[in-house]
Amino acid sequence: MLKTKQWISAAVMVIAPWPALAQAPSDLGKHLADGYARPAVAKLAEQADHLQQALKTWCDSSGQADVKGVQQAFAGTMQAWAGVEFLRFGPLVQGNRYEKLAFWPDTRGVMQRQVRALLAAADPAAVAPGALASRSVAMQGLPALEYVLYDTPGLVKSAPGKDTPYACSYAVAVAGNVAAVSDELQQAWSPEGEFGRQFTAPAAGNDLYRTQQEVAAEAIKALSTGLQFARDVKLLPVLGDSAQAARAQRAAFWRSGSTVPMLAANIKGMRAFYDAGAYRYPKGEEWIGASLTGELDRAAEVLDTVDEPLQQLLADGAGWQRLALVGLILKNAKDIVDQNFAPALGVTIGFNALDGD
Amino acid sequence: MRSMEIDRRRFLALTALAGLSPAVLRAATGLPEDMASRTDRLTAAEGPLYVAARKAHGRYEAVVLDMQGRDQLVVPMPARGHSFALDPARGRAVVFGRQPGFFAVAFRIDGSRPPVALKAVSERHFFGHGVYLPDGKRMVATENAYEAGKGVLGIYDASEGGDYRRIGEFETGGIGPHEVVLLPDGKTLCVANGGILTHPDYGKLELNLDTMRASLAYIDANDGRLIERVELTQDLHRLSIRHLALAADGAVWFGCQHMGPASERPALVGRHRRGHEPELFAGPEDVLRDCRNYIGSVAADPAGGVIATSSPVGNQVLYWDAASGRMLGTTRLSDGCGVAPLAPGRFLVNSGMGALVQAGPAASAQSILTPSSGLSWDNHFRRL
Repeated sequence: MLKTKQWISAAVMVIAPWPALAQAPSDLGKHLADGYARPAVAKLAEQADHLQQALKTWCDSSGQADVKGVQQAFAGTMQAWAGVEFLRFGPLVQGNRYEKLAFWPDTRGVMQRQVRALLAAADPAAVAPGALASRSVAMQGLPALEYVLYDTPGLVKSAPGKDTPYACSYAVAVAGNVAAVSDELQQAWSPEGEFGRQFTAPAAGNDLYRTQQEVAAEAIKALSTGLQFARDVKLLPVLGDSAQAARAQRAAFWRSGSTVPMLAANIKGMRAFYDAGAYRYPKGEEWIGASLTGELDRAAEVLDTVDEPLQQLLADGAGWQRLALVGLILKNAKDIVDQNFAPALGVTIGFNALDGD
Repeated sequence: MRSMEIDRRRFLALTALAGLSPAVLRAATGLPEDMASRTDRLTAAEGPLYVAARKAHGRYEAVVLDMQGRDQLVVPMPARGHSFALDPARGRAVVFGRQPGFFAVAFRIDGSRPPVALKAVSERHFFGHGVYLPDGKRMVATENAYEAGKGVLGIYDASEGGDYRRIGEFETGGIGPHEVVLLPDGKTLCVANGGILTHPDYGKLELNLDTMRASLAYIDANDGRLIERVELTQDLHRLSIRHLALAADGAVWFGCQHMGPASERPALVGRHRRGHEPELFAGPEDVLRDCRNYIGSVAADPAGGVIATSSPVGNQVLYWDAASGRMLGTTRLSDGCGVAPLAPGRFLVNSGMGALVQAGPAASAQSILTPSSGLSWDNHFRRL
């Protein structure tokens, strides 16, 4: 078991008491917002909206329409979420938005239990427009939607017919809720949103971000925590100690076969988020950025070569090792962020600065 | 991925060494010279003794120190430690692994006997805090029953020859119990249920941020009966109560971590008197902002009239008047977290950067150990 080796926590970054070696642009927040976060949340909102429409059309046709449209729209939404999920600060952690979009990991099977109960009760009030927002977060988001589409009743596997209209209405309602929460994210990140304004223009009078350093610390923390989450939460519990001990069903979004493509999209997203920062290094320190992007590219490349189902990949020794390699690369990438990139920007992680103790 | 087996063997080997004299220990573990010179001053202990966990030159250790920061005993650990159960009357202590901790080590303060390694039982891990009961026959530790997702107090046989066998457990009436203290009556435990659900497969990842709710639970140490349980108001459901200290008047002071967005900035320090609602103290707005929603440690001075609360991420220690809840002042210390009573209104404070200072609200801080690159003190610093 890996238990004693792992910790996950939002590392709290501290401004280091030494001058920064590398430089973030003086308008770092604007670079990160315009160059990455705003387009990423806009894409999620757009994809979720598209998914809701596709599901509605398909359900209305009682499954006569082509199911591929739904599958593609679902995959598009999942890819978009993979590019947003590591922005786990500001709007995404307000009002339980993260949990509403993706209640996972779910060690006690809350989603499954609640969705089953909901389907059994078939209460029309629960799927009325906007009604889900006040229900348990586990029933509101992408894991629940995946469950009804790909598992129980498995709408896309056996065409929705007379026996599954409620599940279909629920799927539409969940997609609508994901779209609504994504719209809120987009609004909060926009130049008109309070968060978007402060993040892009840190100033002494601000409540949230007062200096460019604080924006840099937030960006570094998002990268560091995102890399750790990808490895420690998404990958290692699935891998176990060996191919024999691997457990595909602990993977995120295994039911729809989205695990590996989403991990790849997640890593590419973190790379693009890094790029958007336009960090500059003094001579002799350029290796920091080059190593970090090199590692992220390498991890994504390995994942992009996977075309077999996760279960099969894990059962095959060589496949298991490919994923284990991604875990090692992600660890390297996180070490570079924590030990080189962060201090170069004048930000450090304190020994006692980890949440949860 | 390192093998657990190798770690355990190394742990047991190191544990066996810990009972030896510091010189032998140093030789066996290859402690560098600066540490060596400190361990050699073994006999020079002055005043009260303290315990702390640290990372020193890549090794995790628990140490007994004097008030000058000189090592009196070094106990090796297999991984990072956290806090202690203390039994000064019998010269004993237990150090717990940092959460999710799967080990603890019981040792004699004077190193007169080899330490005893405790292993977490199946489906339980330590959260890092514990207490001995006054008769010395039982030791109680906060633990996570992680498959069931509930907090428990593990009860260990601390009697002579009991070998720290786990003899039972009490439920804490909440999730994620962190620090536990024993009230002055000697029979009531107060537990800070942090409210955060975690599972060791996912490290410290919070699994219930949407529904989390912290509480203070008062539990009868003899039979585990839940005597009183208080929560903060619903709007503060993401405020995790984690660390505790007792004031002279018996009030329980607590320090919190806020798991909500940074834009929310609730008060992080509070006081609870039995039979009353908990009170929260915010202090000045800018000081609170600088705490960045995180208090790492709480201690009362020896007179129980001044409470120190540290924020390592805010690089500051805050002092409070236990009677009025007024903030008395702050000490700036980078990554400063461990606070321990020294004299009335005076504390020892250590840091993740290796510093040790004497500080308090009334006078400026005095350095005892300067920051050192190979040395990091863990969150907690306790006086025996």
